[in-house]
Amino acid sequence: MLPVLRPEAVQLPTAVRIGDAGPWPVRPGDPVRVDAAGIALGRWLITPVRSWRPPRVVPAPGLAAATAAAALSAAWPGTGEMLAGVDAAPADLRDPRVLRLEPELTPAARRGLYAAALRVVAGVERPAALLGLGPGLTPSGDDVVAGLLLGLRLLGREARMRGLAADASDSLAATTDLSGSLVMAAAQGYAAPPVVELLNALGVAAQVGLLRRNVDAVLAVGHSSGADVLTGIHAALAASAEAQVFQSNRAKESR
Amino acid sequence: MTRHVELRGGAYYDSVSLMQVSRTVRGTPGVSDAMIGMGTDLNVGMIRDLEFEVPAGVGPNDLVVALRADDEASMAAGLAALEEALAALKAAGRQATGAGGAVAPPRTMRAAADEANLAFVSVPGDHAFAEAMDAVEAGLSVMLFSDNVPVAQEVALKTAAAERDVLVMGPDCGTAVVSGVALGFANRVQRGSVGLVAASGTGAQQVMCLLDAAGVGMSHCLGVGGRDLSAAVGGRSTRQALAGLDADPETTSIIVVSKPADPTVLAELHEVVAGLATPVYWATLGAGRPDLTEAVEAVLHAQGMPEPAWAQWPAAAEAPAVVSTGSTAVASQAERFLRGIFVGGTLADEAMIVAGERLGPIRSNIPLAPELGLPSGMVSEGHTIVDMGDDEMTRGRPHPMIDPTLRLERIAAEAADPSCGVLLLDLVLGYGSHPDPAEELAGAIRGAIGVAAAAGRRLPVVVALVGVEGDPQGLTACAEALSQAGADVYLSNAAATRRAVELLDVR
Repeated sequence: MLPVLRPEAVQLPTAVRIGDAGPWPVRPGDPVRVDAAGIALGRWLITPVRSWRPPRVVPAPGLAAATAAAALSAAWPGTGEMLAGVDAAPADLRDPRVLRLEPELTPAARRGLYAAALRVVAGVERPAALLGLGPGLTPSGDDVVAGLLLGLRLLGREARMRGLAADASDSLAATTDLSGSLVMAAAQGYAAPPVVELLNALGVAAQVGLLRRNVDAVLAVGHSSGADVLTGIHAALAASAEAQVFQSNRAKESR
Repeated sequence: MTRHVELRGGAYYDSVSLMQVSRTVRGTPGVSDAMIGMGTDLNVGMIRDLEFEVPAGVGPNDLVVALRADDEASMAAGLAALEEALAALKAAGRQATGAGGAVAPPRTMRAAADEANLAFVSVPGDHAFAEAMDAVEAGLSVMLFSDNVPVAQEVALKTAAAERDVLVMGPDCGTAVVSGVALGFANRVQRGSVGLVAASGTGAQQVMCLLDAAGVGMSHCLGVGGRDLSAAVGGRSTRQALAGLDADPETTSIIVVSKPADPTVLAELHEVVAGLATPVYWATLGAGRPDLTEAVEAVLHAQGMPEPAWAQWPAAAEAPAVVSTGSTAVASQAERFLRGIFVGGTLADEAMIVAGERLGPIRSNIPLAPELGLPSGMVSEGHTIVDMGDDEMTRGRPHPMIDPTLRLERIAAEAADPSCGVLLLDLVLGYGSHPDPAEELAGAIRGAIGVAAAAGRRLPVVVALVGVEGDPQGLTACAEALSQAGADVYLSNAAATRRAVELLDVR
């Protein structure tokens, strides 16, 4: 999987980026060639050069997960709705309305995604429960799994992260090729730059005011991808935290 | 009840787009359900739970479309709505012409040449030649707004343009009106049959505004750049523009407007003009030649039209009482000088020529003769007229017609100078100029008069106001604001200059 991106696309860490060179010279289904000479797309020959180095999540093993989760909660207004699991039931993710992204279901779906993420990180469920869930090219469930992997890496929970990544890797056929390649990139600590920047800011215990800017940048990624990744990151932090409030939440969500 | 399931390969959409599409399709009367998503196991499972039969072999990279409708007709309508919604997504993608949109905006002159026959180049002077030459070679005429372009590059550009029979307007061409479309600094004049060839921006604006006041409209005003009638450039663009206007059926007479031109070039152009079918009039400034107002009057006379009384607005404000300072000797008449602070280079030239006839040599940063140049620092000496819009003054900053700050500072400085006997200013209205220039200038005039009065001097102020009533800033409104501030205001720059000289003499 080799994404070739125009300048306005989200900067995927696995991608070759091109300038605005006019309409694409290929259509879906056309053969393309990738070899030592470059990427042949119709009449284009793209010769890749390294012009940027995708940022990578830097593990911060000493980081208190509870503190980081609290900081992310403070910086991300969507947290409240997502954690309102006590009073509002999470949606069953197999409800077809989730696939349709019906607006009245969206907060419940967010809670459902969060609950599923907590179950996955706790080992109660496998990543396959999330991979491929959602209508678009990068299904919401995949972004949540990517967020989990990135969050675990930040906390230095290498073993758990690798276990989860291996599980996800076994289930990659369940999702689109592009999205699967991004989940694998997340296992290496790579994601769209705003996502990595947020995680690294959490790692150095940045002030909430600064984090808020990072969160806004993440939310601007894709239409719902940013919020989905945040859901996964928050779940990784919360599930890892010692704090009782998150433990009890997890107990409720995991019922 | 009827169901429809199909798989589409190579169809890539984000979640929200698909949500919008499925909502649109569900809104079709008779369609009871629509599920659209990538064929991942989880999604296909959900669709199967809703009792759709999804074909085996569906993969995560396929787009699955599942519709349920009351009858065949509703299904057909639903599918039609689906196609329309997907096509709209594609069209939206194609129309995105921003960076990286499906339709990339042209990034070079050559790429843009398909759709245009005139290029407007306004990059910094160091880089203007490449862009302009690119356009010329692509067969475009060029309005070269940039200044600080070396004269050798100008000659090369214009030579190339003549070979391809296109026109280079500029460099430093601030004013043009092509088929009623104003480019750069231009006034909203009426359309008509007079064509202008202008080696001068503000000179062309003065001529157009006077003609407009006399009820005469413009076909085109083709700028050629202030140096076109110099010996070095030899009138290359003027020749092209004259030929173009001569061939234009709308244009029945032509006026050539220029600041002082090279006599040899002018003589050559007179020969060129003799071969044209369209009558050509000259508004080319120079000692002993008619000023721009007289040139316009001659054109009107030749066309059998009466010369109008050019508008003027005398100072409406009472001059503030002059403070008697007692000990400070008020400078004698002989020590009081004309100080002109202009934004229009040609207007400054014209003022120097007109005032020079009465006052003798006038110093300037754009002197009529080299020995009349101002010392470095540009401090006024004796009778002085400065052009605040000269290249030297505008490098790296906006033209004073856009940003008047530097000129307002200079007005304040002159007002504090006891040897300043009268202030002569211009103000150019129209497209491109400051949106409300009169208010700031009126403030500066009030301040100048007040500063002088506090020092025991009376400081008359005269303004040449170049504009037409149709200009965005409004001619009368501006004139009244300046007159209220204490300035005598004239539509004719030559008349304003004569008034300033008169005010100096009668002191």
